[in-house]
Amino acid sequence: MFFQEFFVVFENDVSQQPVAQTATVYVNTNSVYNAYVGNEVLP
Amino acid sequence: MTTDNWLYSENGAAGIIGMGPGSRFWYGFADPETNKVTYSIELERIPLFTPSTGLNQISFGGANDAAYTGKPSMMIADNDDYSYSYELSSFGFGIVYQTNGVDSSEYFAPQPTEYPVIFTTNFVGLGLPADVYQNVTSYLEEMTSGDIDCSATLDGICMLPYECNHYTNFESYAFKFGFSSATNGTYMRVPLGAFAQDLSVGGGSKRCAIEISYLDSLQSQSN
Repeated sequence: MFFQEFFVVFENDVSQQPVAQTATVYVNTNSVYNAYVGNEVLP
Repeated sequence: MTTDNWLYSENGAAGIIGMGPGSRFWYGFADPETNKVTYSIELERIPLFTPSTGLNQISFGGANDAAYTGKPSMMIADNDDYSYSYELSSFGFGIVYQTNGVDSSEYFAPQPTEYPVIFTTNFVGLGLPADVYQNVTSYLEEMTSGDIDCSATLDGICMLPYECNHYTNFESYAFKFGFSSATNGTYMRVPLGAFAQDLSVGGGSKRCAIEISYLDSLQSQSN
């Protein structure tokens, strides 16, 4: 499932309403498929 | 997570965290200087008969991310509408070809981008709106020469006739997500295999389920 292939760090900024959220997505160290995060350009 | 008591008093399944964005629960983890709450999620696969080697963690008040320092990442920001949803700039389903283990070319069939993405731990697999579900399942039917059976009804998923280890293309096919708030052209590819799991179907048999769920615009998903 998604969180088995990816590790995600969420950050909620509670100083504003509505709360703003950011997510930083990494390929999980336990990923067993060809998950990818990056900006490679393929033909 | 759109209301404070969301799924309150419901049995936990697939890992439910039921505190909404306005819940005081989150404020307890806020950094007093930045007013920001950090949390992270990664889940391991649990093998049945062998020791676990992965890491299964949900951290509040910080991220246990030492293993990820310097690794490629993609930072994205949610829509400003209290929904914690992320706007897409591009979305496709397709295949990545490799040469000697290195990505060499790709083909992705573009899909609609008007549906924002929500990350959640209480939804098994990937939920797709009806039109996207129809597109993707038609490709799956082609890929499997009609072996796959996808149900375009509420909670519907796709089932293959044999166990998942019978199929070998899960690593090549993927969903490609580009987000409006991502920088430097960063994107992520979520492999189809991420949503495959064997389900018992009785008689000691298992079949491979592709947990791509049909989202009905008129009915809520079952818990």
